[in-house]
Parts: sequence; structure tokens; C-alpha cells
Amino acid sequence: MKEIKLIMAAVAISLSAGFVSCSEDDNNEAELPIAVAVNNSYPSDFIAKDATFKSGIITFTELNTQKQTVVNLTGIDDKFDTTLPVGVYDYKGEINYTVKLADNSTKDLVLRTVGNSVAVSQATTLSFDWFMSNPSQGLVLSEIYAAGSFNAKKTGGIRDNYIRIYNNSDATLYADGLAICESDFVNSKTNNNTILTEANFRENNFTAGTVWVIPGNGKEVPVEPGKYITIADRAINWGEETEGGLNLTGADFEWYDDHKLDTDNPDVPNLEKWFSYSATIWIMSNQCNRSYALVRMTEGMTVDKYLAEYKGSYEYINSTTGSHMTKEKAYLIPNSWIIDGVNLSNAADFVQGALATSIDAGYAKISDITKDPNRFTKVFVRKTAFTAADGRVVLQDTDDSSADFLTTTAK
Amino acid sequence: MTLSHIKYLLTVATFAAVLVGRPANAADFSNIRQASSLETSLRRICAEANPAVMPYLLPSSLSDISLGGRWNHDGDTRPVEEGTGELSGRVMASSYNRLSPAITVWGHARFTAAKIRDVKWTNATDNSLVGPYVFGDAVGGDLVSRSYDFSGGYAGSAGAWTWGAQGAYRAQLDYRNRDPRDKIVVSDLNLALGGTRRLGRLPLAIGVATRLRIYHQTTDLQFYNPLNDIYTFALTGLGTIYPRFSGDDEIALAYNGTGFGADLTLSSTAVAAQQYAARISAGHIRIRQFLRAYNNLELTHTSTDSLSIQLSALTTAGCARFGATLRGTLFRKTGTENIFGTSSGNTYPVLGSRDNYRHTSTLLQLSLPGSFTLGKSDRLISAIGGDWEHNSQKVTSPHREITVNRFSLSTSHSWWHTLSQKTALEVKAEAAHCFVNPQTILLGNGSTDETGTEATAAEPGNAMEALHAATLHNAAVATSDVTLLLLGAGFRVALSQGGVLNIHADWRHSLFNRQLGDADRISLCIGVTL
Repeated sequence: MKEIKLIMAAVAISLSAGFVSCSEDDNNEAELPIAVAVNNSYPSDFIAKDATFKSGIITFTELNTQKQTVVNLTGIDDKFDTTLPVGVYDYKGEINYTVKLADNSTKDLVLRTVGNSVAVSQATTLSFDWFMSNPSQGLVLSEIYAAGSFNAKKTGGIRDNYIRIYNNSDATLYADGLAICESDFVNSKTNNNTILTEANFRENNFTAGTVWVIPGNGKEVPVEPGKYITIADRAINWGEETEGGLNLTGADFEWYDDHKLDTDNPDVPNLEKWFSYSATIWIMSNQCNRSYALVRMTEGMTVDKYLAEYKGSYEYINSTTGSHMTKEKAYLIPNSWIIDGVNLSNAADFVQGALATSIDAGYAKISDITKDPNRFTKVFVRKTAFTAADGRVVLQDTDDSSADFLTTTAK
Repeated sequence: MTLSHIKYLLTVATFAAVLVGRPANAADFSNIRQASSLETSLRRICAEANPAVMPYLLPSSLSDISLGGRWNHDGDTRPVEEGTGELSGRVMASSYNRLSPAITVWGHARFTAAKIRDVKWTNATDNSLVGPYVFGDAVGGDLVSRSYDFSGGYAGSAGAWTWGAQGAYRAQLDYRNRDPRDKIVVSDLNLALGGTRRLGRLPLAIGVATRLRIYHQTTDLQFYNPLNDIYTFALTGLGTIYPRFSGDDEIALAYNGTGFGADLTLSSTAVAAQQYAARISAGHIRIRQFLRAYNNLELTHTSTDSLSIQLSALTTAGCARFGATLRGTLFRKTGTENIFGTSSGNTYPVLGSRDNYRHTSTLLQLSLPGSFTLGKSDRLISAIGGDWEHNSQKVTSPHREITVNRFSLSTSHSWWHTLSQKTALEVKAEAAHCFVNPQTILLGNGSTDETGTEATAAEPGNAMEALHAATLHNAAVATSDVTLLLLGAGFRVALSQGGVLNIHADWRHSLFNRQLGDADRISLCIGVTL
């Protein structure tokens, strides 16, 4: 019996020791860093020797865990090294610098870079393309009301949609000839298709589902400094139909589809319809998950010439089914024509916007969830940067809608 | 529970009784007292681990069928995943039969129907097994549960050797009839094989057993509201989340688990003045979590290891028996999250993984029971005990931790009094107090604005605040001192045609500090022992 007790004690002690030693040997380090080398390329018109570095920061956000890694830059270098845990990253970078002007004054300027879905699983080299990013001195999209006001049952929205174009400069600018374009691409993870046609790559051209142009000869639609024009879907008093609806009879323009589902206010000029994907009427997406571009068509561009030369049909891999598909009804807008653009989406769905990152590095957020029932009555409004000495409000435009826009209740 | 369920289980119990034959002796109080004695408790320690020990468990056959019900009012005293109360009913039948001196069989069947109130922050069941990797939301609601358990075993002996095999299967269905609509299905199979050999002329047998567990759980979460605004988080422990797969979409999950274990046993084979029992158990189970809606993507997995050593002894002094049980348990669970790249079609490439969760526990328990036979009609079983536990849960990134030391003292008393040849009374009382000393509580501040190592998830702010509040509540429960009081009474009547009618009720009251309030449980059971 004593022998049995001793044997059991010995077994117990040895088993316990083995168990404890296993737990002590375990490595609790959750994330081993991976070496990442970054090569920077700057715009062709950026002269590094003329720039005085002030500050620089790059923020890497891991898409699975949303953990952020911040790298502080020490200069405007061609390359730098860092380490990141394994994952897939979006990154945003900003370099603040000054340049000396001819009159010996200095001007603050900004370089930015943005990237999406960069996988880091082993030692790797990334290439960052930096672009100039400075507040707009011209016409900008200042308000976008895509959600609409509540319908009578509070179960959905009505079509009291509008877009406002604001003059952010100190001189009178002309809006005629500008085009308002809605993206063909949808800014959601379920529509995050892999585009196969190079012309439709975001960094090359904007793929438009609608192109509406403000009519005029270029001098007929003035917008004074600090003022805006309003372009509505249906320029009616929606409040007469639905409580809480907006009165848009004062709109400067409306887009009118010659169809029984649309109405034409004879007192409000119509936009010129150059292209629409819809065979009936165009309604802004009230899920607020598309992009909008304000485009200055090149001089001499006509609707016939545009439709003939800028057809944008493309091939893609459907993100849900994995099937190879073709989209016919789309047109291209060269990125160089775009004077302002805004990506819209909700936080749960956003992967990347339809605009090039140099036009909009982020997105304006309507809500944190998909199809938020409380999104109706919310309007995207560009923030105020400052009030100029002449009392003119200058709106913020850093080419990043995540920072530039907020939502408020439409009035 | 429907009438057809009751009829089914009665048929099973009757069939089992008929199949294995009526007990050789009509059941009387002596069989029941024997089954609840300290000696049987000692042998049960090894019989639960090794089916080959079952022939030594009881000296005679015994069968039981019962109806029971339980009402719990827990309020804020339970973790949010376990709800605030429960109402349940069960039908149970079990049988232990010695078909011959060499063959023993046993079987068990149980149906349980329950409604658990206000379950939140989990869309899974068996949370202690599949956790911390569950999906959960702040809304939750009452959960209806149906559970079917079946088990059976066979043991044989020849000379100094015995061998045995046991199988057990549990099927469970939990569901909720309003958003968020859970439908959870569990399949849990346990198999055990074992053998023993008597040690010479000693009334002891040394044995070895091996176990296999195959576990499967599926969850389907649906929202009938087309404008659903319930946000569901992929939870990763202590209030942390996996943001990428959190959202307001419907969810289809699966958990697959395979476990195995081994046991060494030393058990008494006969009633003797000195009795001993020893058991060393080791086990491992790995549970993998899959997102079925994402092409069966394996999101996480947990690995659980456990080691338990129990030593028990019982000695006789006149009409009293005194025992001692010392038990030590080591437990470790690690959790691993996979990191995925950009999806291509409906596939998500795995870039790597991180071991981000750890739960360890060291438990030491000492129990000193005693049994006192007072004349022919009275028996008192009393015990005092104490235990100490060091329990630690950690998440590495973002850093979260709860580490506590618990120390408990308890006492229990059960008095059996035979009122007459046909009636007996049993009264039970227990009291315990658990002291908790929190060493480390680090649960963040619920903010998503911290930079650096803090996650900045794009979840609705209110839902994140609700998750943080739920995490703080669970921490309060884990670190609360608890005082427990249990009172029970049973009445037994010997039936004229053989068998004993048992009626038992008990009430348990628990008092928590940290402003958690108290909890009550009332149980009622009516059964027949054959």
C-alpha cells in the first residue's frame, strides 16, 4: 500500500511539473512584427530640395482588427523602414511642409498618400505614391442630400434630394458647363468587384453611371464668392405632400427625365442629360453608397463627342459569386477633369470609394451600419475651415471626405 | 415538453428495466441509503472516469425515473450570457443493473425543456466550451431550450480483470422567436473505454481509461425586420471584438470540436474498513469556429488542456466513517484568431494567426466528510471543505486581463431519518462563503478613440458602450464575494408493489456583494426508485 501511495505521488508530481512547464514555455506574444520597407514616389512637380519638412505621419489600420500602427516620419525621404504585424492594411499619410515663394513669404503645403488592402504576411516592400493635397480654391460640392426626408409612414425616404455647388474662392466663378456625375461603382463590400478593364481603374478614370451637365455658354451661371447653387431632383414643395419634406421650388436647376415618373417645374431650368444608366428616371441612391464628381468638361466637348469617345463598358469579377461579368452601361470621366469628388458610404460596408484616392482619400459616412433606418433627413455638409477677412466662409477641402464632411438634419 | 416526449421516456425506462430484468431485491430504503453513502461517493469518483469500475459501484441493481422542475431567479448575479433566470422541467430515467456477477449494464435518458430569460451577448450555447469566440449583441432576449441526453454502458469481468465501454449523446436545440432570432443546434458525443485489474488480494483495482469527444454546434441568426439595426459583434474575449466580421447581417456559424482524454484510476472493489480512491485525468479539446456564410471560413479556434488529480480515503471508526478528499486541477485554454487578406470572390486567404487569448485556472480543494449512523433509523452525513483557486483570463491585443484569487469555505449536512417501515425523511442544509481577491482588472475604458495599441473599430458607439458595460458586469460577477445557503427536504414512501416514491424539494439562496443583489433557486423532483 505504501508503495502504491509513493508511486501515485511521484506520478502526480511529474505530471504537474510537465503541465506547468508547458504553460511557462508558451509564447504569449500575439503579433510578431514583419519588416516592411517603403519606397516613396512624389509628384513630378514636387521639388524636394525646395521643401522644408515640418511634420509627417503615416497611419496603418489593420482591416481585421482595426488596430492602428502609427509611423512618425522624420523627413521627406525616398524610403523608410518600419515593422507591422501580419495583416491587411489601409494606410493614410500626410506630410506638412513649407515652400518659400518669390516674395520670400512661405506657404504651407501638404502631401498625402492613401492605400487600401495591402497585405503584409512576410518581409515586403511597399510603394507609396504621394500627391499634392491642398484646399480647393474653386467650386466644390458643399452639400449632398441623397437620403431624402422620411416618408409619411417613417419607413423610408422621399425624393427631395439635392446637391449644392459652392464657390470656395474669392472671385466669381461660372458653373455652366459643369457636370454632376454619380458613380457606376457602389461603395460597399458586397459590390467590391475586381475591375479587369484598365481604363476603369479608379486611379485612371472615374466610371460614371450618370452625367448631367449645367447648361450655358460658360458665362451664364455665375456663382459669387461664398455663395452656392442648388440642383434638385424635383424642384417642388415636398412639404405639401409629406410632412417634413423640403421646399425645393427655389432650386437653381433640376434634373428632369422625360418620363411619367418625373415632373418638370417650368420655373426651374433643367440640366442637360448626357448619360444615365436608367431607362426611366435617375434617383440618387438613398443608401448613400455611391460617389459624386463635379466635372469640368474640356473646352469644346459636346454630348455627341463625349458619348462617342468616352464609353466606359468594362469587365469585372463579381465579389459575391466570383463570376466573370461585363457591364455595358457606363461612361468614363478622366480624373483630370474632376474638380471635386465625394465618396459616400456607411462604416459597416465601406471598402474603397469609386473615386481616385487623390480626389477623395476617404468617404463621408452616413451611418455606422448598413441601411440605417435613421439615415433619412441626414444631409452631408462640408465643414467650415475658417471665415475670411471679408466675411466669406471658406469650406474645408483636404480631399478627404472622412475629415471634410459631417452629417446634419436637412432643412 | 409534450405528452409524446413523456410517453417516449417512460417507454425507454420501462424497456430498460424489462430488458435488464427487475432488480433481484425489491428496492427498499437500504438500497437508496447505499447509493447515497460516502462509500459509494468514493467509488463514483473512479466510476465516472472509467466505465470498467462500474461493476464495483453498487452492490445491487437500482433504477430510477423522475420528473423535476426548477425555477431560478438570478437577476444581475450571473454573467450576461447566462441570463437573469430560468424555468425548466425535465423527465429522467436511469438504471444500473447487474445482469450477472460478471456483467453490469447501465443506462440513462433525460429530456429537459427550459426557458432562459434575457440572454445577451451570445448567439451560442455551451459558452464555457466554445467561448470566448462567440457572436453577440446587446439586444438578446429569452431563449427556449430543448435537450435530449442518452447514455449507456456495458462492463464485464473475468478473474481479476474488468473492462467497460460507455457512450453518451446529447442533442440540444435552442431558439428565439423574435429578432435577433437564434437557432442553435448541438450534437455532443462522448465515448469511453476502460479496463481495471485487481491488485492481488487487496480490495483495490488499478485501471486506465480513454475518452473521445466529438462536438458540433451550428448557429443561424436571422432578422425578420428588413430595417434591422441590431449590430452583432464577433467577440474575442473580455469585451474585445473582431471588427471585420462584425455587422448587422445575418450570421451562420458552426463550431466543430474533437477532444480526447485519459484517466488512471485506483478504486476500492468492496466494502472495507479502509477504502481508497485515486484518479488522474488529463484531457484536451480543440474547438474551431467557422463562418458558414463566408465559405466556411475558419475564424478562430481554442485549445483546452486540463489535468486533474484526486486522492480520497475513507476509514471506519465504530458507527462512524471519516473521509478526506484532496483534489487539484490545472486548466488552460488558449484562443487563436486567424488574420485574413482581401477577399477574392468568396475566398479569404489566411495571412497568419495570433494567439490572443489565454485562460488559466489552478484549483485546490480539500473536503473532510463524515458519516454517522445513529441507531437503526438515523444517519447524518456532514462535511466541511475549503478550496482555493487562482483564475486568470487575458487578451493580449488590446490588453485586457482579469486575475483573481478565490478562497471558499463550506459545510454541508444531510440527515436521514426513517419514520416507519415505509416512510423516511431526509433533510439537507449547506452553507458556503467565497472570498474573492481581485489581483488585476484591466478592461479598457470602452473608448474607441485611443490611438496606438487600442482598436478603433467602426462600430456603433452605443453598442460598444453596451458591450463595455456588459464586460464590466461580468467582471463584477467574477470578483464578487458570494454567500450561499441551501435548504432541502425529501420524503420517501416505500410502495406496496416494490419501489420507493421520492419527493424532494430544495431552495438555494445566494448573496453577492458589489451591488449585484441575490439569487434564488427552487427545485422540485418527484420520482420512483425501483
